[in-house]
Amino acid sequence: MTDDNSSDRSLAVLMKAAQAGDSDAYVQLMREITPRICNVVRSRRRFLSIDDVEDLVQDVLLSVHAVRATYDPERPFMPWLIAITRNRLADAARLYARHGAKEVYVENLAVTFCDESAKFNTDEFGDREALKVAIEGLPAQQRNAIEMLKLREMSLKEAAAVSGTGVGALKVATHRAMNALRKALTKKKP
Amino acid sequence: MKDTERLIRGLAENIRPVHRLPHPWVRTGVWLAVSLLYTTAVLIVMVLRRGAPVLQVDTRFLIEAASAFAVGVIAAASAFALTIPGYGRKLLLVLVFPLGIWLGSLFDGCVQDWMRRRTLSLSLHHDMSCLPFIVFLGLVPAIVMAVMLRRGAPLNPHLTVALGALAAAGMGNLGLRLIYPENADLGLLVWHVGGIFVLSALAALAGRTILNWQSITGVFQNGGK
Repeated sequence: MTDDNSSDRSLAVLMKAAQAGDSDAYVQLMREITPRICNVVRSRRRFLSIDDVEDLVQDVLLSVHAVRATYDPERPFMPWLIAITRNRLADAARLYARHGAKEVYVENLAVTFCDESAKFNTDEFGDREALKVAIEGLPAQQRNAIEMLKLREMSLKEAAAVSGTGVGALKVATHRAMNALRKALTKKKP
Repeated sequence: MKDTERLIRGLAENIRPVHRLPHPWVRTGVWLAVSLLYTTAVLIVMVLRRGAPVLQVDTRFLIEAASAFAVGVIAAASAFALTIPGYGRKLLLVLVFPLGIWLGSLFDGCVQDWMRRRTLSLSLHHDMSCLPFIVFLGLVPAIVMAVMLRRGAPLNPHLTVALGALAAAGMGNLGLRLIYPENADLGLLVWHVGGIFVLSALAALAGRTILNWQSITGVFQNGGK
């Protein structure tokens, strides 16, 4: 019990520092709460895959970040965190139920279609140099989006967090960049 | 967990100091001050245009006004408390008492009206005209309430927004009762109180549109660190 209290106290101190803008304290806090959130998610959603659990943990971390101003350091930290975690779990379940009702599940067919042309990947571009030049020719926002999402393989959430732009704006920039690259590389083909 | 580590670093890189949300009662005080200021200003304008109303300040009216005021204050405090993760919901139980007294005082007025006139009349046109005034008087308190609620966590959007609307409409109704004093009868109970609860129910339906996680994490993602 005493360990729990002191652990809670230390998290409260870290959050207080994070509220004041201390990024080191914030990183330490987030690292310490991540396994705790993970345990709560796993215990309540045993059927989820590791990737889904990580997605939920990231959602909770984003929510903690967004509402960190609601934490009062005079109050215990863990009830605050658990309330957010449970709420996000319920929210995710609600969204899953809503989207699941609209989805039609089909078998993932590994074979290709009879048509010969369907068996070839037409999106492959062999000329890496041309691709590099084409990417460099993109407007800055589109180039950043491609670099973060396609080259560094960051998730949309991460890219949005790092770049400070919205998920929607990133999606649009990526879509436009892909179109521009496709056009540029198709023109260069003999 | 590499992605999560990257997310944490991304969040920490852009972290800025935040103003801690004050205690729900402090926030209620701020909301109440703004709401009373607005209500007083509207009442002054209405008195200047229509003349001062003749208030029948008897015990029943005082009990009704005080309990209606208490409902507004406690509903506002409950709404603010619901946006704080881990905060108890005891205030919701406390709300039952002034609500019971308020409805009881109006019901008592209805009974006395019936004893006097031996009929329960429902003046449709006259009392329905009160609803736009309740909306107008509650408009600014409702907007201020919505803005303040959006600073908290959207844990129970429907209930939170319903309580916020109850507080704002309750204040609007109280202002209206001061400018249009009339006997508590069935029309008042149905149109005023019914109107307040309908407005609260409609607000509850829009709860998730006003308060949701996507919008507040979107604010962060769009640069509001």
